[in-house]
Amino acid sequence: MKDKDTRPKYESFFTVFLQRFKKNRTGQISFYFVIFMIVLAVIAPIIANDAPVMMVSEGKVTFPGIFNPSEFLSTDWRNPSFPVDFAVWPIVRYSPVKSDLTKRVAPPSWDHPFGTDDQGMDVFARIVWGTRISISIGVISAGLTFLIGSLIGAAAGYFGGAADVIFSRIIEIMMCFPTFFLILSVLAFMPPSYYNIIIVIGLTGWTSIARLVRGEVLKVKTLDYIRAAKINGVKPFKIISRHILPNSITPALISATFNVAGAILVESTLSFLGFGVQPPTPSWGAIIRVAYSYIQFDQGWWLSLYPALAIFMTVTAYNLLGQAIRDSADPRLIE
Amino acid sequence: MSFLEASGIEVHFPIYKGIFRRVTGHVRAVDGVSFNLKKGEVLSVIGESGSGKTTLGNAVLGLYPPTGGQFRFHGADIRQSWFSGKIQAVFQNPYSSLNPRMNILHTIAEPYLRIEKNIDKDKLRIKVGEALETVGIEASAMFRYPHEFSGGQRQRVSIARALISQPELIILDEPVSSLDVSIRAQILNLLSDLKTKFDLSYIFISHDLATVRFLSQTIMIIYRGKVLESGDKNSIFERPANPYTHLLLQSARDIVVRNDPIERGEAVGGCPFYSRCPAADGQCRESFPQAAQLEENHYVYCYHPYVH
Repeated sequence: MKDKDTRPKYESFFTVFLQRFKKNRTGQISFYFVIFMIVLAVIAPIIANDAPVMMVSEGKVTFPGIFNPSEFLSTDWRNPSFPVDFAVWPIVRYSPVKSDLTKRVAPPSWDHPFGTDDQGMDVFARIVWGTRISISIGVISAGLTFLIGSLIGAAAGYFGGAADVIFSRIIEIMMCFPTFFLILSVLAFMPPSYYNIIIVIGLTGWTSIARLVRGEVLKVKTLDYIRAAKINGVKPFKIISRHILPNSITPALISATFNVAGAILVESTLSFLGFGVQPPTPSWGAIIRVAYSYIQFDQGWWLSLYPALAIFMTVTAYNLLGQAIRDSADPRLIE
Repeated sequence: MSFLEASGIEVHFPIYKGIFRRVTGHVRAVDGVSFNLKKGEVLSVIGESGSGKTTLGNAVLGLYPPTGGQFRFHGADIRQSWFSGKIQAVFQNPYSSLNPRMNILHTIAEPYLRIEKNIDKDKLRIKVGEALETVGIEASAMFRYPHEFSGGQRQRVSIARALISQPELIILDEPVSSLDVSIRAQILNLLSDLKTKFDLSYIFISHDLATVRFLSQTIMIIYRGKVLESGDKNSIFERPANPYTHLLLQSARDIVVRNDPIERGEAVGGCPFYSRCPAADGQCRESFPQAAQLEENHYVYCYHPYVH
């Protein structure tokens, strides 16, 4: 009988990566912070909303805070016109989009923990709900960048020749444009909606990933297992998807983490300039935009401080996470 | 009808210059190589680095289709047999010849799935298991990944991958040169056993004369894309006629190469060994010699062969 315990324990790339990532304190903290932000985005209706999470009214159980049914659109939840037998209320009972003009630019209080803005909307609720916009725009547009970049990079690297020349020139031309002003000028011709912002950020940021993947593919495609696959008549698409991309995508994945931070920053800047998602949709940049008109009168410090902190911490967390992943994945740094 | 017949194979790579990528010349990696391989035989291609021996192997495999000349496989054009699994290869570096992200089952099954498109999982596993057993690895190892194997085991896996599509010809591109000496003998014995078991033919590409001596019957000495000497193993090893072969065998026996390299200009259209050859003269510079038959199966391409 073979003794299994005496066999040397081999470690795959992923287990080594995990071990080293677990030792990285900064990486761990930023990872949990990112998870926390995602959870916050998901449970935003439980944290801050004017509608109850769950309500029993006239013998019927409904979830108006989560599903936002249209019949409650104009309901004043503090004095409902119908009897509420039982309700589970969110922690902060203010909607991120409903204004109350009697309480404009109110400083932080127990009722409004982060104060209110120029429309009397609760800043805390807007920041919590703004997490949804920021995180989703960041992740989806970085995902789009990653997808476009790795496909173009893989095609350029694998097929070489004319395809490589054409794609490389396109990448070089794209890199010549200052990305942010390109996004601004594109959004000048498009309605600045949520999807348009994602598409524009995604379509302008793929160049660095494409170059990264192209370089890796050039390295991998000369290896012998690619030759062996070619000899056996494996189709180019399958060679790319099964042999080349799994072995060349790691640097691009790391780069994509940094792209998330970049995209969140770009979205905030766009919202600050008024080219982002349109009010009253809550967005961190849009809150600071409101602060801009009050800060010159030495008013409304809470309007810029809290959303700025949210942006700063999220972007820092993604950047530190990317750095930690890069350090853990780099084989040259094995101690 | 011969098994594999090569006539005047040329593989030339264009050299591009300038922004318009004009072709300014060609690298003559393989330059007019002819040989004849019989079924069940081993042809060894010997040469130093950059002599075009690997390119010749790639030309047979169809990775670099020949720019001139023709291969005939079973009397038909070899193009029909490319990428079909009838011609397989085992490569030099066991660490780069297996995809690190694919387990052994999928690696070995890949050539087989090209032939049998709709095979159910269990049959495939049995087939892969059998292939692993034939190369001396236990079948239960098929779910492991390449990094869990040593260099020699990986080379066995490479051989199993080449065997599973039931090939007739295997190109062995320096299969043992990056292995330990002790493992080397095991792999060579395995290759020799498999040859008789499955009625295979090999083209054995090597720069190591000892391994060549063990496995092959016919030898081809290649230098800068041109064949300098070809023929029966014993005849070449005992009575090398070309000065280059002589030098090669000498360097294998002694550590010190006695002949200092002679510096001469390049010979355009002449013998590629002209600049280093101790016996070269004006004739060698002008033209490449025709084949001269020394024995029944021993040809030399030289104006000044050693006569034994």
